[in-house]
Amino acid sequence: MSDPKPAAPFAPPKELKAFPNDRQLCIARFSPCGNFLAAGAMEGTVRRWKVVEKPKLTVDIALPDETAKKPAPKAAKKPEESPVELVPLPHLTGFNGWVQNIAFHPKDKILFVADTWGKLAATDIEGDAPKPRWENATAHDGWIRKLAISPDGRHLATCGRDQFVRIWTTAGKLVAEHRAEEDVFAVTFAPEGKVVAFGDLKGTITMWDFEAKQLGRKFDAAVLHKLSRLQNVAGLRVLTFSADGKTLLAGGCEPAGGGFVEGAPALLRFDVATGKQLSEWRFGVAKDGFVLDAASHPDGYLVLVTSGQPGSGKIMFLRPGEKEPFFTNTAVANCHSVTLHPDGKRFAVAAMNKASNGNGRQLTKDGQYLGNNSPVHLFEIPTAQG
Amino acid sequence: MNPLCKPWEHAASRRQFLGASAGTLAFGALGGMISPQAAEAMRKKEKQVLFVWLDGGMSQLESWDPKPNTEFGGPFRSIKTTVPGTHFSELMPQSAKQAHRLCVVRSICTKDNAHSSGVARIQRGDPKNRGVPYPFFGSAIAKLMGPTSSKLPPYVWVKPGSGGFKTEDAGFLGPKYGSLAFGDGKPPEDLLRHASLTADEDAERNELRELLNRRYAAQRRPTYTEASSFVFDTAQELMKRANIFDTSKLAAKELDRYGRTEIGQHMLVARNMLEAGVRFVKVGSYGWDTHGDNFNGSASLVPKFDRAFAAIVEDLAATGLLEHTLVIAMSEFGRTPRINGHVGRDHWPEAWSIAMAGCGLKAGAVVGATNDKGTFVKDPGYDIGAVFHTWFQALGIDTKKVEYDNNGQPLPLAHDDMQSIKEALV
Repeated sequence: MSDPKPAAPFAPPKELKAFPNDRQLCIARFSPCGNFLAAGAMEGTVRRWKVVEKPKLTVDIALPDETAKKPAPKAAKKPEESPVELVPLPHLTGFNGWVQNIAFHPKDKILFVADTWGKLAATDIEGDAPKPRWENATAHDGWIRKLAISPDGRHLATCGRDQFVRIWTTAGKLVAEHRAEEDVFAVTFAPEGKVVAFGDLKGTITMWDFEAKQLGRKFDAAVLHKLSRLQNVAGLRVLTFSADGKTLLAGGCEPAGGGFVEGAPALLRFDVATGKQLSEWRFGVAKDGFVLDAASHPDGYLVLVTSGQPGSGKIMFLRPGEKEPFFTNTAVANCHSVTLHPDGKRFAVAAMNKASNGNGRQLTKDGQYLGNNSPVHLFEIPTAQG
Repeated sequence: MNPLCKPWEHAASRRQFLGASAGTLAFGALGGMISPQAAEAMRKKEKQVLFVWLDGGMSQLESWDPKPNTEFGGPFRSIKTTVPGTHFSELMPQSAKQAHRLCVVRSICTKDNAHSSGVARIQRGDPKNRGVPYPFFGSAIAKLMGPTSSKLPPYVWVKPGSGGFKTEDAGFLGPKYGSLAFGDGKPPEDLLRHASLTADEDAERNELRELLNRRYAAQRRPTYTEASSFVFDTAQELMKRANIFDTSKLAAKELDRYGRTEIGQHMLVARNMLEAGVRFVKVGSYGWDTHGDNFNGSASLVPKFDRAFAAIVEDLAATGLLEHTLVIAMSEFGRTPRINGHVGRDHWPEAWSIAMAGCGLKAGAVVGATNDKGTFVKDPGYDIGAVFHTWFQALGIDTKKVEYDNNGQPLPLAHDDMQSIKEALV
């Protein structure tokens, strides 16, 4: 994300289609080539789709002039079909627990996958059964909470419940590791790729020059943590630098309490040079939960998604210099991940079916106990001309 | 030294030594190695209960009955326990080391999915409706077994928040059998003689208090005034042993073993109370209603319970108290297999787990099972009425022969149509 360009006339994004999916998803990412969408599922698989552009079909239909008094419309447009289809490809298997993190290599057609049992792996993208390049079943002891890839594609950063932050080459070799004082929830590379920022359970964010093996500046995001009775409620979920590396954004939740984990989605913006907090956004009320994912649009704004109590979710466009999002969509329930297509004209949101909660036995008419699922909502961002 | 042995294999820990000694040595011979209270309690072998209540509903899938790598299994791994073939969630590494002492029932199937009604319904054993409120298990034991020979309060509740005398637990038994609650695990203020008072002055004050009590009682129903006197007297007895509440003098290692958390410290107080001879100690913990962010919540909550629970089971075993103490850890229900949009789990009475240990129970047993996805019990399962029968049986109370007398109305101790869980009992 860079400093925002002057606000252009804006037409709100429109949803092209919701693509059903039979499982819950943690994360979705477009490939840099734009031809694939991959998603990590709560079942140890990676779901894949081929992104297929369809010829745009718009048919003009002349309507009869039924009344003499009213001027007849010249033509009405037939509802458009989505110009893009997501065509399912076979799942990638061999992972355990949940696949909560995936990342595409910025140049090569490689997908990196991290699961909650500690496995880190690299695989080709294309084909029905892509070739695994390498895998490390014990990259972490348990839950890998975040996976990031450096902008130059040389390194991966992972962090986990085991309190470790680890740097790997994209060939899978461990380069450096640091043991933090707490469970580490987020990690991201600075734009030059030699420093990462990682954030922990208690909302402490630390810069780490992994080449020099030196810890650097700390940022105080303690507002994203609350000790509620026994429970340490971790609010931090997302870290991302601006494109120029001068500011660092920390997204998540200002927790109000444990259990239900109510809290308002929040985003903090820090000055990297001084560590000073520049601004804070709170997006809504306690039921709205967490900023769970963020994507930087080439035009300089952020696309954020939130998820809170079941049914509560937002898609927001935010310019860093402004106090409020300039676009908010609340029609999609529990938005867990957002990914921008590399052309900047489309984005996909991994969300949740409606009515996903409820106490006790809830069976279908034929007696089945069904799990929830995550439709992938594909949106188009109209150009300034509409 | 045998080259096949490692040096540390020859060094017995204090707890190992105590555990081995308990059955073979007179406690007096142990000198300062065991608290006098524990030695006294062990010598008397009076039945006691530790009841750990995780209010809100601990997830069975993130604790006693993990289903890793299944649709509803969540992100966590399972780990081996000391019982071959039995696995717990990776969030319970300490309890996994105590599994050979535990008896876990994985097929609990109850009826109420609401906290407001479920908490009381479960703790009263959900008997047939006879138009009277049944007592909580602690009150039932206070009535049926009374105080131990220690004369300490028979039913004590160590809990977060406020304390006081909780008469509502007692149901039709009457307020005398309510719980004496110690808020935040602390003793009540001003119960003991203030340092500025002499013993004579204190005696005079108590005389005046008793006089006023008699006048007060003369105008009221005796059940309430008797309850007040009973509670005051037994609480005062407890307060004479103020060291029960003081965990500050314990070694850092001991505090760490239980965890420097609310539940850890309360479990230490509970251990002291059991050693002192309290009949029934309930330890309450709040905040387990993980409708949102269940997995991060469980990652924070469950290990804190695990550490404290495993430590007290280990200590009770080491001092021999576990032989005559019934240990129970449970909630009002489990949590839904289905994961909601807030990545939480909702209320699930259909298939959940209770962990127990101690007197009358089979050690190392896993009773009942859920299906592969953890959604429902495989067999008919056990309702809380069957669990109540089991607990009474484990404490030597025959529910076929003993019944309550509610002012002439005979009432069964537990649900008439249910029986104890035979696989769980020795």
